[in-house]
Amino acid sequence: MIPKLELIEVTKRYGKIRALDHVSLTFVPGVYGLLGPNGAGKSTLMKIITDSIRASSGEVLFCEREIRQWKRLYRAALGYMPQQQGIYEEFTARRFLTYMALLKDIPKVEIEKEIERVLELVHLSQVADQKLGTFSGGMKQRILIAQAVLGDPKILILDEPTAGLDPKERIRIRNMISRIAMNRIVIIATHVVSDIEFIAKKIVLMKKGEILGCQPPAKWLEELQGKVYEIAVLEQEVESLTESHLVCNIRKDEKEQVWARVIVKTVEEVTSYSDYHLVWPTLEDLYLLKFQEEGEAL
Amino acid sequence: MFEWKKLCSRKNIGLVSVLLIVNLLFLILLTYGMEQSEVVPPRSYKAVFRMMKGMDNEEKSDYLNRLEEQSVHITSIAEYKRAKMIEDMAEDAEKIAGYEEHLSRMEEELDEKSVLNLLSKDSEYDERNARKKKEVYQSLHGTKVSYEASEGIMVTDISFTNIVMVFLMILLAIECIIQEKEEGILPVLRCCKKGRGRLISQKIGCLAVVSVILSGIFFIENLIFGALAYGIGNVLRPVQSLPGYETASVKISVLVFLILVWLIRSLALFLIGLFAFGIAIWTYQVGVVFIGCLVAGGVSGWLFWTTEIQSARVFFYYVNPTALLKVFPLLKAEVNLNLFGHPVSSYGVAIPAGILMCLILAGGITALFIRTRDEIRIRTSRRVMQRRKKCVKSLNGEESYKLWRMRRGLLLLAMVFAIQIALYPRDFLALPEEIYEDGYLSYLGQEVTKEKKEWLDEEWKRLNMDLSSYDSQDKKAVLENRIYPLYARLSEKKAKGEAAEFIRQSGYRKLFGVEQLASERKNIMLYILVLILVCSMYITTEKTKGMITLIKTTRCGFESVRRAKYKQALAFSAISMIVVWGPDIVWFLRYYGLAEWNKPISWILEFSSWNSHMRIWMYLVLLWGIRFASGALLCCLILLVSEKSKTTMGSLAVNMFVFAVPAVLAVLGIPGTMQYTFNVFLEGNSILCSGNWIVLYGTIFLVLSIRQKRPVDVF
Repeated sequence: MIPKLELIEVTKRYGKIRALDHVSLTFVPGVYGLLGPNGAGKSTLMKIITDSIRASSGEVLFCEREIRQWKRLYRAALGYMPQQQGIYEEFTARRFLTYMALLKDIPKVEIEKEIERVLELVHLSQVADQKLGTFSGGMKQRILIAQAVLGDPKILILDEPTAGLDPKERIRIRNMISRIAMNRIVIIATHVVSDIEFIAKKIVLMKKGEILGCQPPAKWLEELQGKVYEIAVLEQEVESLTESHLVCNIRKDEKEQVWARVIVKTVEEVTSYSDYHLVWPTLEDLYLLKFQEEGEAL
Repeated sequence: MFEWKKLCSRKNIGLVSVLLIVNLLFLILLTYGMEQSEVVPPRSYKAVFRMMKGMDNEEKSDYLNRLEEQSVHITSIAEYKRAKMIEDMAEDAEKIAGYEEHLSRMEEELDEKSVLNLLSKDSEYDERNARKKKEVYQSLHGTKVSYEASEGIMVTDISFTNIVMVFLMILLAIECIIQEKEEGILPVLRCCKKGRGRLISQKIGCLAVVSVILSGIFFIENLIFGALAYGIGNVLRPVQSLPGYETASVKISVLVFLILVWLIRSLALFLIGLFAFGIAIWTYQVGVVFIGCLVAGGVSGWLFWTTEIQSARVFFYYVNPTALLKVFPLLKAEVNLNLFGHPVSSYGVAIPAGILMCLILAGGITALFIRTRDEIRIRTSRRVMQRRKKCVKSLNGEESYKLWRMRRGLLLLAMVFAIQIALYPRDFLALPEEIYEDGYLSYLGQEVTKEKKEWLDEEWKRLNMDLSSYDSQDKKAVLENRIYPLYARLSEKKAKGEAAEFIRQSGYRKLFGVEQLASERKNIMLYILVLILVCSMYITTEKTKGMITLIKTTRCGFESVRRAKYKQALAFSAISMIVVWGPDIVWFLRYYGLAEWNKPISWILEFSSWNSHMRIWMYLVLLWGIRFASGALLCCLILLVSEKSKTTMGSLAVNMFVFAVPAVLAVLGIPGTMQYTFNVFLEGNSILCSGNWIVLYGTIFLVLSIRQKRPVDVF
């Protein structure tokens, strides 16, 4: 059976605050990137999907059936990695994974093999019998990913999975996610746009509890085609440029020339500069454009 | 300023307010509510002083002597307490009325001792000590002492209040640092310009202010209560006017004495707070702080309460946080301490020593806080030492690992077992009364006959002839209080056609909690402390670490984890009970045996009203059934608090205050703590022997169990 997760008109209120406002989404196997500034409702959405909190209204269906009706079977299909997670410092990595495997109801005869598999996956086999208290931040992050993929879950929900990882590990984890997402739903919430830029099947943009859209990255980037330029500016012009334009990046080249990457509505906005050229837009540009008034730094 | 604001949170102010109310309720209960307590009856005390208004010291002494002579016929506990009070008051008033003669008598005694010292060629120190004491007595001549109401002042030295203050101080000291540690802000703060020396000195300064304020408010509360209940007299009279302080070397008024009590107690609280704070900086676990404080408090209390003033260990009696906290024994200055051959008054040593200990602790804490730890080296060495370990593949096994290893259950039980073995009465010697009683019972044999009554009468006559011997007096007391009543009860039974025999009584009295109460209370305290320290953070940890978020999303969910935790904790509570009470039971079986296990319990004097079908073994089954069930209930209640608490400290604090403080107070012999707290369930005997009250206890037990709504399926 191909897993399918549907959110229909899901709303979540905390008193007068509306954390999620009539959210409707459909997830089928593949990687989904959840992008949005702090307070957009990403964590609330994930908590509702993981059945940690109940929606004020609306439905969450898994394979056409309300997730609460599935009871334990739904949670058996779930792999979750929360953000900023504390772990038992006195447990060894192996003991921690055994504990999680038991909670996931993985048959006892398979536990050992399964643990070896996930440890290998996150490159932690060498330190499997070391206490978690001695792990670095990146290693703890990897052990959390390992527990999430334990038992081959059909839905994998990862909150900031690559936070604290070095570039090499980040690429490894990215590839691993891409590999295992062939026949399962993977939802990744992150601020690191590059993590999902190349592997996400669809990107969900969220703002103040609402969905701005859910479409493939290429489709999102179409909006920016012909609107992102690099212009040559003088150092003293940078200040006034940031006030008048949406500046994505400022860099100096080897000839000490300052280049500003800007998003414009029409080409006329840049023709007054001595040197400019069109560049390929990225998801970071899109993020900045969509959430510019939030004052979020990229 | 920020540190101060943090400690003065609404939550902490609320906690202090609640504990002030609890303290007040305790004082009211202790003073007015308990007939059995040994406190002076306030109404009688005030009435006597009302009658003595306007009299001088001599007239007061005469009046009290007359009252003492009048109170001969005592028929009730209230009358006994009043008579005892008058007797003590008359003695104190006499000392004050003849103050000059009292001082001269003390000087004469000292002179006699000095002569003896010279003859026995004692050390130079003894000579100096005697000379110093004599100087003190001489300097006190002419002091205008007056006999006035002073019992209200003594209310400022109540153990319950002291324990509540210490408890609060430890909590606040932990709170000073634990929030930063648990939330991971500490490394950020330590990186700031003023984040090391300045930060820690602010925290220490804050603790000092808190200790002064805390000791002040509780002191004022007790003093006001004492003044209203008993009166405190003229506060400008010399401190030598207070009973027991007639020869105090400090020449101060009662007012200054009270201020000194407050300040010295603040010093003690500060010292305790620093100690707790130091451990909290060193460790990451709140439980370790409480264990450390309990161990240190136990050692300090043990030194204070077991040291004889005349012994060589007297230094540890005075240079001791418990003495500083109580203050009153310090200022009596009955003893000078030998400081490099020179006699120095006890407070002259204890107070500077207290200040020095505070300085050393503050310095140590600052050094500990500002130094950079070499964590990388430790990590590397651990990595090398790691070996592959096989993990238990069951949820119960994992929860058991958390309880016994992570929560230090095994270590604590081992410690308790070591304590119990250390206290095991290897050279137990029965009291003469017990030996006489056993002797009589073995001589009488089993059968209850008229001849035996005749023999007892003969023995009674014989003892009456031999009044000079102390032994005879003791034997008479045993015959009168134990053997005759036992014979009477057994004869009654025989007359009714029931079986009746003499059996050895003393062992069962101990086993059934009629005697040897101190040991029982100690066991209850140890048991409660172990359960709290191990279980009160057993569930809270999942919340504080955020693991609950992860567990909730798994197939088994948190409910299965909770079930496993309850199972493990209940098993732990049962094992703990065996470890705590085990050595005592082994001792009982070895010393007394259980030969009459199948005999009716009604053959024991204290249980003579019980049904004759009730056998000794049945009573034991009932008793241990109640204990195990109470242990399980206590464990569930602790876990419930743990489940409801948001922080580990909150859980520990609530459990400590509700269950451990009454247990500690019971060990200190505070009345009511064995009847009106959870201790009564763990003791068991009081419930079984409470007559109709058993229904009330049963109802309370059921209500607590039903409110639990948690599986208690182990038993």
